[in-house]
Amino acid sequence: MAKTLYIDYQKCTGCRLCELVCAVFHDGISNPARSRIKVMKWESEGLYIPMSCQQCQDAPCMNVCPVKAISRDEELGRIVVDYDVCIGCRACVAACPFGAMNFNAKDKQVFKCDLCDGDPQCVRFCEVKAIEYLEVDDMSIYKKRDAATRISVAGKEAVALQAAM
Amino acid sequence: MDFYSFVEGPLLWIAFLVFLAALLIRLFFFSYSIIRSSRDKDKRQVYTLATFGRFFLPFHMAVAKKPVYATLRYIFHLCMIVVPIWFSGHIVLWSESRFEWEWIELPDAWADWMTLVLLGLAAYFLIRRIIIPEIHLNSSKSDYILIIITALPFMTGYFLTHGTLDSVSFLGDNMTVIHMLSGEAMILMAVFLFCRTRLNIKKCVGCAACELSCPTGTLESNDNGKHRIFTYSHYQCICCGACVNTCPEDAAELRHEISAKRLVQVLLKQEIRSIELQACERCGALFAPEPQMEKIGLTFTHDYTKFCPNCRKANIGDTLHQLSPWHRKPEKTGEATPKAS
Repeated sequence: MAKTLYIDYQKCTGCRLCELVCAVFHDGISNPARSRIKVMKWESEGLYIPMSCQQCQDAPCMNVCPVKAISRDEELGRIVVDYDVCIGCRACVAACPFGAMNFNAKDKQVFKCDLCDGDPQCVRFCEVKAIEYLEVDDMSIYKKRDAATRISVAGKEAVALQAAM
Repeated sequence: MDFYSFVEGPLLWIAFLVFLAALLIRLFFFSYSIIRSSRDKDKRQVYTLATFGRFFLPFHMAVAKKPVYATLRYIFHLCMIVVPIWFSGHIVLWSESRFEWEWIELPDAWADWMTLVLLGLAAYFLIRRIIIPEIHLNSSKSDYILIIITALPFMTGYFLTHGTLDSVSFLGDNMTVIHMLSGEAMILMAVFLFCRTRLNIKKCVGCAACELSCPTGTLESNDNGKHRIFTYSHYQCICCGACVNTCPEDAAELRHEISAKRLVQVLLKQEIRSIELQACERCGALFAPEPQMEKIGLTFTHDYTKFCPNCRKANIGDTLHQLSPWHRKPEKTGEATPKAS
């Protein structure tokens, strides 16, 4: 069964270790600009959201590619770029709604998250477990549990507020 | 000395000598620019040699896009080189000259057929260029002149050997002179004949895939301010057709160009196309050529196509942000701008 990255942004501390690890693992340089994962920051609110490729089922990058270099790898549930076929037209970069397809201007190549062939390094190094590598089926359960916890906390707060009044 | 002996003697020698000299000069300039451009790319020299080998075979890279046209073009060029060199009438002239050179002759029937094939193809290329509006619009005068000058010596040569027009008074008498004059014109034209990649303005979206495929660095693109500018250096081009083969929009064309000044403009980078880049609506960064975004906009009509990749992340982040518990803080809404890392 395909696994995917489950990002719990409420846990993220914005340390950007995942970016460094990703760049070092794939390109051998510690340059966050070469990272497949990017942490978006709302510093004033302490909100940090790691953004990476969503491995879409009906991926825009796959549909827009003029030479069909992008395909779906069902085994790992990921979208992969075949660099032998890729002509470097950057249509995928222009089409991705998540901005997850990047272009490396030095090597003139596009790059995207490839889930590190089944062993995501960002998951391995994330101290606070904000990124986890989970079965797709389990994800909805985690999200339901998350939402339920929030509702129950909110309910308790409401009760406490009412009691205070 | 009358006109006939002038055309037959000095003019022919001038044509041959100019041709030989230009061949050597162009070879020198070509090697110079190739070595100069491949200083930092060790693979290029090997590739250039490999392409030279393949140049003489019919199937080079551009064939995949237009197989029929490419085959016809190959046959045309083959006939054009083989017939004048191995035609028995020409070899007789060489053996009678002061060099007394001789080599194996092509059977006359073959030479006849090859000439007819060449003339047929030349007529086809000419008619095709006139009739098909798409090609007609992209052609300049020199494209037509090129085909006519190439076909003329073969046509007159055919008339000459078969005596077709001998009964017509002026043409019949002067056919030899016309034949030699047109042949000399063709040889001199070859000196100033260069290749040039053109990017069809209607089709090209400015993706620069051709730049990546170019093995010699002939075709280059530079993002200069608000524009992406494509440049072409004619002396580096090895006419491999990689750009034509790779172009996803079929916009790249490899065409002839007749130009006297190109012979001396060794390091010139001709500007062949300039494309405007689209700016992100959110941060103002230039991120993709406008025609490419227009084309993608036909399939994807969401607002996000107006943003650069970094702002798209921020855009999705905003949505998540609005869903998050933090969003309830009233003073923060709408003000918080994400910092792209």
